[in-house]
Amino acid sequence: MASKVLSIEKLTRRFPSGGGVSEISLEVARGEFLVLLGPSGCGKSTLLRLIAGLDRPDGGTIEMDGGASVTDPVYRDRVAMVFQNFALYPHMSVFQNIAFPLKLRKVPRSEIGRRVAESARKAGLNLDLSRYPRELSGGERQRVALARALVREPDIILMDEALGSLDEQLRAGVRRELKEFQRRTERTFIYVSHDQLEALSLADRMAVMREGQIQQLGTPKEIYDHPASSFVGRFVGEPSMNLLRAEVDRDRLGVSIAGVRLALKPPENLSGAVIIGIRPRDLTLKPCEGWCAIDVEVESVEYTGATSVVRASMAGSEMTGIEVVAQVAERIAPGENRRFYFDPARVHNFEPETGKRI
Amino acid sequence: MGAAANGAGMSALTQRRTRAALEAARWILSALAIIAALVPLYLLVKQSITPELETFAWPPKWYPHHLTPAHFETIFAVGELRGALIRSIGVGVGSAAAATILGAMLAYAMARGPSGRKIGFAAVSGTRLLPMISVAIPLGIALAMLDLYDQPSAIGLAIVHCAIAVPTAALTLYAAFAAIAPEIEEAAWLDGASPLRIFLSVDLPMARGAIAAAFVLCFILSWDEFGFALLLQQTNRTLPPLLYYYTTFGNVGPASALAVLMMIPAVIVVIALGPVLRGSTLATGTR
Repeated sequence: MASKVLSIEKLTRRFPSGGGVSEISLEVARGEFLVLLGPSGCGKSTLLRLIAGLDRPDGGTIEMDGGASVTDPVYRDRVAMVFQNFALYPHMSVFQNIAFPLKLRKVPRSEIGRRVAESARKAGLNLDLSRYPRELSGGERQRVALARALVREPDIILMDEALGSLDEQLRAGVRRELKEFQRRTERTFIYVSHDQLEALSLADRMAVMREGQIQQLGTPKEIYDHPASSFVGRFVGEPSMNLLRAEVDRDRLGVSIAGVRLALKPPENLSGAVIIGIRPRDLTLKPCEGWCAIDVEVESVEYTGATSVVRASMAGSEMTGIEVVAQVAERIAPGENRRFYFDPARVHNFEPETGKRI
Repeated sequence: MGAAANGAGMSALTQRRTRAALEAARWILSALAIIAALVPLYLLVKQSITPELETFAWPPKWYPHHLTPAHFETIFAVGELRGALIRSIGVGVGSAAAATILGAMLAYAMARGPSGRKIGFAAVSGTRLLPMISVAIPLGIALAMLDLYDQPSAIGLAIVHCAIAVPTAALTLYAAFAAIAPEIEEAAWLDGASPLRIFLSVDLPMARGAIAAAFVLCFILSWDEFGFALLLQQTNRTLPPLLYYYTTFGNVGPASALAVLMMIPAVIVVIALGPVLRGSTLATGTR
């Protein structure tokens, strides 16, 4: 890991109404793009606000490299934040918005002009700086907010779902720009998101959070390929991973899902039950040597262009309604009886009680 | 097919008729409201520039026949008028400015903290529930003890008017401060601003429409106020008691002239602050 810019230790913040974070420890490397990902109420925004210093923890520490704690006045100089609604000052022009942090620091006028222009350029802001926020589009406002965050040259830029209020078409473009912006400015970004696709495409590393704790921290590829828990497996990846409860057969040569036997060798030293996770795109219609097979009845097909998302129920099982979702390129019609194949090497095993990866 | 198209055409026609009827009703109601507001004003202005004989003529004369500057000459000849006018303006502007500043502080506390909200609303509604005139005598005694009773500067009256106006100012400004997203203040804090700087550079400019509105309301409250003015400024009068004396002595013409004169500053204030006031009603969505 490159040199660290921020260390968080045993950070706890509880709210009387529930939620918050407990005992979170995390190190952020200089220049990385870290995404905090999780469903609403998982504590990701609480963590971000604690890092920003907008909220005080009940316990634990947050320290910038060099030892500045979050309560020190110098700490505040080194973090900037882009809010979900951008929080631009509506009564100030774009120029005044970006210049505000510099004016507060009593930077000379000529230098303010130079630095505002430079940071507007870096944020890709191509407009008349005398305009007012209300006259701008969502994408332009976001760039103003970025330019304002950048102008005082912070070590860390925090972003709270900052693409959330943009429309879908704009988001892909802004996402690409943001990544480019981060590379160009070499700042550390901590970005909060509930959108797994956004997280996968933006992050150098991502932390998947649940109930106030980090479930897994790693690169997007590590998290996608080796989810640490069934929760992470299901939360990251679209369509969501299939999680099927299976019993380990007595001969330990296979497992059974509600009476349907699969030639899937169970993990070592495990008897009883196991949750097997299979990503929809790992299910195919073509047989392969050594692969497992499941017979299904197709219930619905959602055509998405290159592929279709097929929802099907397992055939021949003791229980009805065990749903299997597959993503396939072939044309399939509802009502058909099909056989899905999958590579045993691509199956994720999880403990039934804790959901932890085996 | 033909019948269906016909039916659709009919319903479109009925719809258009209903809309036209609603529009007409709206116009008629607006016109009536405007007439109801303007007729007394018109009569007042007419009385101030025509002889009293015409005012009491029967059948009534709806438009001026003879114009006369006599009533205005009468009231300008009264030595007391100049002092009363200056006093009224001074009390109005001073009490409105003080009430707006104090009200802004109270409103900010109410908008930003749960305890501030509780205490603030209790204080504001408490003073509003109290019939003001019931404390007039004790107030008069208190001001007399402080040597502020019936001063030529009318400072005692200004203090009382300010106290009456603070709740009005606070309620007007509370909505404006509450509409400012907390993230904007947080952004300013992260940008390096102190709490005072945030209030001055972010909250006040964003609420400027409401501040103008609060000032106007407080000014008019003081400008019109009669009871305390009568009691607390027995000899160094302000305009409303002066007007009262003319009316009770039956001098309808001069009373009307004075009333017209009294309207002018209020109208000037409202027109001068018009753009800001309109801005505040249009730009409440501050996000």
